Amino acid sequence: MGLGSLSGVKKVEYSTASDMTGAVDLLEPREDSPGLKDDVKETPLANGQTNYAGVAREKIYHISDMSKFAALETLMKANTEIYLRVTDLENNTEIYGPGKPKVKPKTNPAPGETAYFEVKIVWFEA
Amino acid sequence: MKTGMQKCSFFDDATGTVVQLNDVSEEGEIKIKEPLASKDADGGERFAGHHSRLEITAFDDAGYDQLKTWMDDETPLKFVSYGLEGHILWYRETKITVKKNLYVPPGKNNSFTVVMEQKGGDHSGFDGNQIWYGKNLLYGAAGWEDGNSNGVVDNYTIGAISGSIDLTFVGEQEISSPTSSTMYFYSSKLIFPISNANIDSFALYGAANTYNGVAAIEAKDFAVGMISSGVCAFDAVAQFITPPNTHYLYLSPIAYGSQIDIGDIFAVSSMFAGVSDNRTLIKH
Repeated sequence: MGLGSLSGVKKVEYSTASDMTGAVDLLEPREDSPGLKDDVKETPLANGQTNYAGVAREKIYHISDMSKFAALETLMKANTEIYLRVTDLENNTEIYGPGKPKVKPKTNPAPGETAYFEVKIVWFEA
Repeated sequence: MKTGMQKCSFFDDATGTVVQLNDVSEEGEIKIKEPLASKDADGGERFAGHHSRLEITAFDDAGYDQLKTWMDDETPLKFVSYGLEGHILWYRETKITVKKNLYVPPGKNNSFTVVMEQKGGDHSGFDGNQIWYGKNLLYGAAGWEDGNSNGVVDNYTIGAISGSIDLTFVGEQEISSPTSSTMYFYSSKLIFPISNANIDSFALYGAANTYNGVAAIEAKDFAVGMISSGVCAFDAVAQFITPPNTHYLYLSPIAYGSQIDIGDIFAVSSMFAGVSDNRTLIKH
């Protein structure tokens, strides 16, 4: 499988605070993580152009450290919003969110593979 | 879908009747605790419960008739699996459907498929109603926390046979004694009716620990009668093969009857049962 859109991401962290206070390190995500998905909304105009109407954003990562699952599940059930901070190999960082996390374990990996869980946040930016 | 599942069992926990499947196909679907969501007006999503589903196809010659009887009688069942990497404990009573897969193309085998599904509700926790997937079976069944703050890790039993002991829990279970006492410390039953499963077990002890005896594992039948037991040397990993008619496993990080003297601190940080020979903390 190719590197896809996840090339160079070396760390993902989450926090309930916008300044990332108390950030929990989820370590490096798996290469097969979908990453950032943006669905840009447009309003068609009579002149053939469109106006920007916001963007529905999703950030999805696949995390191998299963010990981090339980705490995120607790936040999910409480509908507590989190921020995700992504760091690349050149130590550039980007903070995404906030969004209520959805986590699910990817169970029963095939022989030769390891278990992981998916963490996703969804939010809308006007 | 290659799942790494080696064996699994559907069982009626009211009667102890078990159907164990040992020839599981790669075909099927496994979803454990996938979150359901409701849309918020601001474009976000709210947690709305879990969705868990098993679709297990097996080539076993036996088991179909009992599974069909349970389906026809709408008997609620539980399920456990034993895998190469992780295992499932489905303790929430759920009805099943089962169908035969016959007249398959050349190069395929006849089989039957069992479906068990629960949509909605919270499938997490350690209250005996959970649906769980992970590596440490004992953690999946019992957790490792003191939710009621009584100084005793939940879902374990600790007590003095003679003398008296003091108990505190701060991430680790600590035991001390004002006298010379003998004690016991064992887990609640781990419901795991799978025979011939190779279970690794070990206990981890804290920095202040003075206990240096064995840990223990016991296999019991549905009537809670002892079938066989094994011990794990201090700071080692034990291998235990579950015998026929296993229904419950009980694990003890401190052997029954161990003596604890004044000044001793027995400190247990966790106990593991599953597939791993690497003595590290595994709380999932």
